[in-house]
Amino acid sequence: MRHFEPDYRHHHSDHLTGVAWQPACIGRQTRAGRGEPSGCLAVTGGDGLIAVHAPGRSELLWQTRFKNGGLDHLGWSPDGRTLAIAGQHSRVELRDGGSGEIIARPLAGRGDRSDWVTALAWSGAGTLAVAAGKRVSLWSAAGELLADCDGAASTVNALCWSGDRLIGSQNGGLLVWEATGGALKGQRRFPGPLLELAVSPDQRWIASAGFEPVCMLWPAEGGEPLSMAGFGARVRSLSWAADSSALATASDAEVIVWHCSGEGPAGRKPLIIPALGHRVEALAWHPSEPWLVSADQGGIAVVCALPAGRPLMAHVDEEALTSVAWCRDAGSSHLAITTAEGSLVTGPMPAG
Amino acid sequence: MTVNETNDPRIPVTVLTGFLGAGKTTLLNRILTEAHGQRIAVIENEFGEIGVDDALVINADEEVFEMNNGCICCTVRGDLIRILGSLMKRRDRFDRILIETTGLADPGPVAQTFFVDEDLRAALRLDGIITLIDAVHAGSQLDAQREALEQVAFADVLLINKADLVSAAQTDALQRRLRSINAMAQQRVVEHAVTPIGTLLDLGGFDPARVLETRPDFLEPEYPFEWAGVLRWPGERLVIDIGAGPDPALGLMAFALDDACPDLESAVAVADPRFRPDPSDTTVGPLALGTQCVCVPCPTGPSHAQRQRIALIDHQLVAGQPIAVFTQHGPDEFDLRWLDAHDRVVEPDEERRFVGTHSHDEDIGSVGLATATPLTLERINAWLGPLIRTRGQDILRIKGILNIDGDDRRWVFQGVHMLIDSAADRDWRPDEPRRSELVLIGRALDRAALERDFLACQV
Repeated sequence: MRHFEPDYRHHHSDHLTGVAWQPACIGRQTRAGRGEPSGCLAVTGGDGLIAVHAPGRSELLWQTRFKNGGLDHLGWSPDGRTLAIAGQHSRVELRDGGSGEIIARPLAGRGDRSDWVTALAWSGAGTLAVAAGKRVSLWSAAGELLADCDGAASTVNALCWSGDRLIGSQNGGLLVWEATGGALKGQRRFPGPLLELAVSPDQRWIASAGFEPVCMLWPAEGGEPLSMAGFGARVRSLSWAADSSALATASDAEVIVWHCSGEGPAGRKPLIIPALGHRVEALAWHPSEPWLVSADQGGIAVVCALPAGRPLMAHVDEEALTSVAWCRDAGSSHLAITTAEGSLVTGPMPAG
Repeated sequence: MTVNETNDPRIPVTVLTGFLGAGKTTLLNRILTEAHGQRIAVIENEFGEIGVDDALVINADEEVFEMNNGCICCTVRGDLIRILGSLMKRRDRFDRILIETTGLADPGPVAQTFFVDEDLRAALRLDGIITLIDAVHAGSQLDAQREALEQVAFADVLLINKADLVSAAQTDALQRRLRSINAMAQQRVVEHAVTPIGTLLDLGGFDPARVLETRPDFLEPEYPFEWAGVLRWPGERLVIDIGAGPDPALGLMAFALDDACPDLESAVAVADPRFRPDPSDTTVGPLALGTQCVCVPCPTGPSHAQRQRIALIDHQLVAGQPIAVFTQHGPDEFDLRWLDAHDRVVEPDEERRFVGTHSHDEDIGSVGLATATPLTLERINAWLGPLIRTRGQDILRIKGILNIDGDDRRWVFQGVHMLIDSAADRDWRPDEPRRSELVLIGRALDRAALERDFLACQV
């Protein structure tokens, strides 16, 4: 197993809450050399930091602060031009990814002081879905309200797009809306709150998790969900393999990979990746390779190769890790890792 | 809810409950104004007028989630988990978090949230639950609303507000009623929600020693009467002169002392199983001495000029012979006097007050258990485990500090419904009596059975 060798480090003063690579390069920002990521990445902080880095140039492009509290959510528009951020407020900020200039500040909740944003998700067509309390709304990248999605009876905790449908999770199950007008198309009931949500890339499965030590796998086209139990604690992270063949779940210090190809995970023994003793905070599957990275509170990130779960690379940090993200760029892969003490490190995943 | 731990680095959380109109927003504004130098985050579920600009005020809907974890009464506040989890990622940490609930909120899910969610337990400690009581409307609210009873039952501090709008006797009666529901909570009678703010913050959860400082009778056995006295029979008759009081009827018992029952202590043993007042069956007398419990009507209403006189008669008793008299409530609450046939006041030779078991409509009450004999952890677990599994729905709170055999540390037990937590605390101090003290607050608690089972945990 190799050691991760970061080629870019930056320290912020915030507890970093999230990291996201820019999905498409903005040409004017990048003059990366061979083997370096040409795209940018954004990080958010618990005290409102928003920063965009260009690791390929070892450069912090811009940083600023969300003036209304901490940030918990970020997402790049599919064209990589607009960054949406939100957190301890009901306003979303849409910023120009290259300059950081504010494009719009749409109010996603009922009022400034209530309904913090609980989830946001960009569709492939560039529509931004935002949940703030019981209100789910659709916005353009310019900040224009496109539609309100009705039907949420309690706070919507997570949002995912599945083709032309928007899926939301709340107390009592899943909600399904159509993408343009926001009309409620269906509900899937569950006797409890659902907090985490992940749709398989082939749009065949919807995975959800709540406060209980169980993960639910819902056939997207309907039918009874599969209940995947045996966790020692509540499932905190979900991540789908790029080919939809497997779902990775993190619960406490354990990562379990469920085989979801064919008929699904029923009757198939999942892969349990040995625990390292600390709670796993984040999971991310590589966008094309069968590599899964987990990051834990003990400061350890491990990249495993599926299906056997063989460890390929590890990173040991002195700080608790909070989020991870992959970038695949011109044949090379890069990993970004953030910590609770404000550190961002990025580096390449060695070939072979 | 942790024992007062000065070195606890976790952020204290204070929960403010109380019915609509009890004065929660007034108190909240006073806390925010007076707690100078503290950075306070307020999570409010009612839209109040918070007039302090530098506090972080978060509005959220109360969202109660049922847990599918086998605990049938386990509910948590999803909004708190989400908001507090987000706040914990801020470096500009808060010194304190205040959670204001709606008037109709059940405090159970709030308290259980801090037991269920490990992230919150690691970062925050529930310092205390303060319940504001509207002295004017508390009686009807307790009669009509289950939530009011539960807000009282869960409280660490009961602030009886608007006491200036009711009589002292009404306040006394309310305090008794509140104590019958939650004997552990500190009670404070206030006007306009004015009370030293420092005494509301850093309550340190539950420490029996602190309760005993203010309520030395807290762990004493309860009796169905609150007062007993020995009087000399005045001859001819003894007149009970009763003024207006908080209840429309008062239970009484009076009987002569003799060789078989020569003193107050033995009389208490005689009266205890027999004293069962029935307020629906009252009499104006005259009454005969004896060990039957009777209820006499009391003047009600604001006029203190109204009084009721009831005669006790016994033609065989010799003047000067001692009799024991028991009253359901304290004589002072009804301005009660004992008179002879010539209206001269008869003073008791001896009197004693008791912790009363109250037979109000509510079945929520407190049971305090104590012993100086060390307990074994195995027996405690063997007792409490099945107890909370079978009675967890009815047990609202368990709190206590136990003296475990062979361990120099205090053991802290605390629980809400079916969730219970125990941990070794600091060492017993050399000058500290090693006593186990456990309090249960809940519905229809069987004191005798609890005492028996608790004492069976002794080495």
